[in-house]
Amino acid sequence: MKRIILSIPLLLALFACLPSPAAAVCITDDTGEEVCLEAPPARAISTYGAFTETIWELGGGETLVARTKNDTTIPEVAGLPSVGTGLRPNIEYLLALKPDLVIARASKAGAETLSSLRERGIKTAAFDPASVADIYSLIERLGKLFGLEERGVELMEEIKGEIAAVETMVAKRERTPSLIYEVRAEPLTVAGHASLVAELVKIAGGELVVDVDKKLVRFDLEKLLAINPDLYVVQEGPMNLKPLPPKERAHHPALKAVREGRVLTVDEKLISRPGPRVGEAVEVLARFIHPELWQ
Amino acid sequence: MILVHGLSAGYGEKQVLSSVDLEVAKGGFTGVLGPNACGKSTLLRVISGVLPYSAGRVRVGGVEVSETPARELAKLTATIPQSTEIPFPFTGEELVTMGRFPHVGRFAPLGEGDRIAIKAALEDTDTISLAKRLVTEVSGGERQRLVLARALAQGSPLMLMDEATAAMDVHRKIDTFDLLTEKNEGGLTVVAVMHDLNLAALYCKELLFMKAGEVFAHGPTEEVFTKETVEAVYETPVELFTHPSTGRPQLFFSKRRGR
Amino acid sequence: MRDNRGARLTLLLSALLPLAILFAASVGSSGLGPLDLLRAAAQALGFGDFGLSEVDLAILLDVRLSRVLLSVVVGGGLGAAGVIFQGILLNPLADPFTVGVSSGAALGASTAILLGLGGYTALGLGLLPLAAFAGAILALGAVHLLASRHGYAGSGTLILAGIVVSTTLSAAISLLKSLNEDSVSSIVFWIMGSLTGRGWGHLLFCLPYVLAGLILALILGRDLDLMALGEEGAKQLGVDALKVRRALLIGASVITGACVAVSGVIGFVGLVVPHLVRTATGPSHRALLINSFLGGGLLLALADAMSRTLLPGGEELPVGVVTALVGGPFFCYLLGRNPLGRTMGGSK
Repeated sequence: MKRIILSIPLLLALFACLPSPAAAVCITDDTGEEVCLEAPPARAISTYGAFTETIWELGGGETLVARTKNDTTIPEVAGLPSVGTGLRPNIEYLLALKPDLVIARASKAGAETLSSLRERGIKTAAFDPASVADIYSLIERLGKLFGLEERGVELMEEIKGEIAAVETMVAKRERTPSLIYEVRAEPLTVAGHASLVAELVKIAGGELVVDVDKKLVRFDLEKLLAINPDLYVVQEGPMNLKPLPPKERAHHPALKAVREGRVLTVDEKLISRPGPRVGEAVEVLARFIHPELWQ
Repeated sequence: MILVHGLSAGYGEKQVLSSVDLEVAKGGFTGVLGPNACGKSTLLRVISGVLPYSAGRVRVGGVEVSETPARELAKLTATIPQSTEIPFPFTGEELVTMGRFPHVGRFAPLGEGDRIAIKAALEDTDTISLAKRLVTEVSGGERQRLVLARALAQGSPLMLMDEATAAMDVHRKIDTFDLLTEKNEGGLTVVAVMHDLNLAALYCKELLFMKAGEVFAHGPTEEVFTKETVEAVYETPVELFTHPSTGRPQLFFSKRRGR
Repeated sequence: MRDNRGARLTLLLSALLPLAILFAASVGSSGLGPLDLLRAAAQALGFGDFGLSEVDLAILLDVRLSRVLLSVVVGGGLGAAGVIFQGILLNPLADPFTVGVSSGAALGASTAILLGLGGYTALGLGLLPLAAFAGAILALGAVHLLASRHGYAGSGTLILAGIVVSTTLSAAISLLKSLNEDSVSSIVFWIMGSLTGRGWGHLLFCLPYVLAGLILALILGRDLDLMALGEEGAKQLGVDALKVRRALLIGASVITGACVAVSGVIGFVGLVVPHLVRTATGPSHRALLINSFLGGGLLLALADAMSRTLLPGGEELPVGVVTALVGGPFFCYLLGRNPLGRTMGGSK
């Protein structure tokens, strides 16, 4: 016992003499935390689907040792053990998997999980991409952390290429249709100007006509009718499980878009997720907004 | 008025009354006495029709209580319960008016006869000053007087009282029993559960002593209000005297120790 | 004397309610105002073309009007149900949600949301309100079973049965939420209550139950008064207390279930409106029921109008939040002015 106590100052001195761990790579994540790794991770865990998809596209998929409950878009990942939900994973189970890097979503709701992981000495990087530029930055930083920077640049170029192709197409458009994007039917909630969707719609040659600078807006149906958008998009997914089709609802049939059948149902995981499939998302929206250009 | 034969009753598994027989004639004034938990209140509950009984017969005004709808029973029997707590702020007058509900339909307005009965009850009990006050804001004794007024307004030939004057001061107690005596002379049958032995002996024509769920003694006050009976029922030493002006039996308690 | 006060309040509320409906129908996020409402009415009645588009007409006469009227029915229903529950439970602190009907509705709705039943329709309505109503009726059945084992004896038994059912169902909702974290917000926001997107179908669904429950309670109004004397006291005055309590439990629960099914759990109205009305006109139940219905309708129509117009750009506030935020301080103010005993009951 005495020997251990005596050796503590010795150990401290030893640590002080060690070279700084910044030897390999460092990135600053979206919580302002500097995350440094000496070597690319061998056992990584992502607690958000968009990040899992990004890591997979980067080619870092084989380092993943677990997934979250709903993270099932990639078949190979779906076979991994689940650590629970993204916001509140089973910390004990997660620790037992001995990850050397955890990629989590930076959000107020997940802050507690994040700090408890960091307190336990788990290297954790958290991101909160809310725009296309943020997605590029995410790819770049994840590429660095996983030692796959080159593939990251490649992936970015691919996405930029996809987006540029859409932009070229919609540049030929004669008008910019108005659009409402329904996030949730009950109670009616739509995407606001601060959402990623708003940016994607803009790239796709449409205009999201909700005049509120938030990501999510609980919306008055009356206002929806007053706006009477050219197009109506309903997302289907965890936030909007099997919504009633607009034409069967009480007041939606009064909408021009519903009467003319200009309603699109999209996969929430494709459109709302800030991940590497954003190019695909833009194209899906553009083909709906400007079908005449793809004839 | 009341005919009880072989009555057994209680709460769930717990039997409180066993083979009780009781007869109260029309125009009777009976005090029910006995120590705590001897079954006085239970007996009153059974007679008023709110507690089902397991064996025996209970007839009031010629009908079997268990087979008579509550509304018909209410026309026969007015009851003043032990607790008069009310959670909602009715006025005194509204409370007294409730006594007329057994006589009027669900939607029928109060008739002239109902109004007269209410007014008379308020006057008799000296509660006109309480008519506009909220029952949640009057004192316990005042509320008991309002409940008495309600029972009188009900106009039923039998009045059951369970400790109905417990919260009143002496002045009001005497007023109340004077009033009951007057009504009794007018034909009202009164059965009153009481703790105040002297008050009971002063006013009641008959006394019913109960002990451990059985009738211990029942008869005219002068005959059953004896030192032996009271000491046996309450297991407390007493001395009996005669009231100097009325000639009724009265008692003093004695200390158990250190006489 | 007090009968007059009740009648006067009824008169006042009957005059104010149409005004509140007109006001609520005259404001909205689309910017269409009272004049547009007049024009729309004239145009719809065939007095000529006043230049309103089809969509304008839909907003004014369809979306807004059905929503305002539904808010009146739901608010009124919750007010009346609150009166009944407080009366049969002998507890001035009871509200329409005390015996767990709302938890049943919430569980029904949550299950429907998670099973994706929201995408189907029946009776011209989405399955969501129907599932919620079914949940409410199941919860009522559970409370009834528990309480009838004790012969409905005592208001305490009923409250206890309600708490048991309510707690169990809430736990079930929490379980559903924790197992489906991605969809939590759908459940949470449904429960929080909203009248957005409701139409005539919802009104037609809700109204018969509310009216039936209200009429039942009005018929039993005097019995309800006597219930205040407690079970024995009521019985001694000729009321078949158990039957009355059971009938009113069912009536009030059906009102609550129908209201919650179309609007979610809107708190405050069912607790506070009965209190305020009782303070004003006393506890006689017939007047209390009618005035609480009118008052609840008035309050919710105004609160809902606020919930959809306070924020710019068509953003809505949850209406339950508005009722509580506006009503709460007002209630405190009234409690401060009046002795507690007048609204809360209880004896010195």
